[in-house]
Amino acid sequence: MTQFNLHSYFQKISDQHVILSYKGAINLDLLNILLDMTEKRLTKSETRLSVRKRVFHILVEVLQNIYHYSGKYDFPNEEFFSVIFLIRKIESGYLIYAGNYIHQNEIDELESRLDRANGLDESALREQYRLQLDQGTWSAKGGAGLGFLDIIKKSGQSIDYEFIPVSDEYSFFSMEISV
Amino acid sequence: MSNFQIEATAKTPYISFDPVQGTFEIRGRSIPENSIEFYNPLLSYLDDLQVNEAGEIQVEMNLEYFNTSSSKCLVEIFRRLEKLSADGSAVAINWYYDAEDEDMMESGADFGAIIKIPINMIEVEEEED
Repeated sequence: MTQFNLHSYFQKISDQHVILSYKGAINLDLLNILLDMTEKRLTKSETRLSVRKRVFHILVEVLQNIYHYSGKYDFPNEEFFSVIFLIRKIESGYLIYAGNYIHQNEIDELESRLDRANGLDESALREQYRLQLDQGTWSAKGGAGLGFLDIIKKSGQSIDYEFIPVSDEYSFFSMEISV
Repeated sequence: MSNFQIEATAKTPYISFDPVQGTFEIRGRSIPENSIEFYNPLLSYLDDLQVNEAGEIQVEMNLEYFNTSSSKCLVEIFRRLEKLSADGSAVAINWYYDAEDEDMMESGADFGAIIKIPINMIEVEEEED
């Protein structure tokens, strides 16, 4: 065998209770397949309807978000179009991870939106969500700035995130959401 | 004006508007990537609707899931209903949610808080898998 140890990789994925993972470029068909597969697996792993719906709902937001982002740039390098998505089942619930490359000039805005949303308590979150729903303007991708608020509202937890610079122009943006 | 009808898909809901019967129903999932594109025909239809055609409108909102971009479109739909109501139509809105689905109940309350027509919350028993 080559230097890649398939069994230890397999073991690691099992030990970490990864339900589904994907790394690569994303398109609409693939997005639909991932949603469909995750939903089927959730039906098996999760008996509580409310939890299942909540996890699926957050997944839709997360995956559509990375799909829109990855289609946004004309990356200089094919690899930059790759995204990663992972869902793990742990004792207390589910962990959803998503990562994609973004242009560095977007970090400040993204970071301030995340920090603002993460800093709201439950009632302020609801108030902000309603305000945005009522008066928010559309972004070009139809996001309306509701995504992060909605994810935090539904998961009941703040969004963990990180930006890792990979070049002068690009960074890898990763998110971890616990449901 | 003729009826408006769209069949459900895996990611978009069944929609039906019958101005003669005065019924308007949205049912199923609404998670398209591009919600504006999906809802635009319905919004245009509602824009063209005359009050005398829509004397009474019974709205049945029966959604299983919707993404945040759809929620913005739902607000746009409610805005058109508000206008019809202000112009003299009798608009009644029922919002259905699964007894176990707290989030869907909360969503109904969120819409209720920002639109001028009262939303009737109706709890339904858990769906069979």
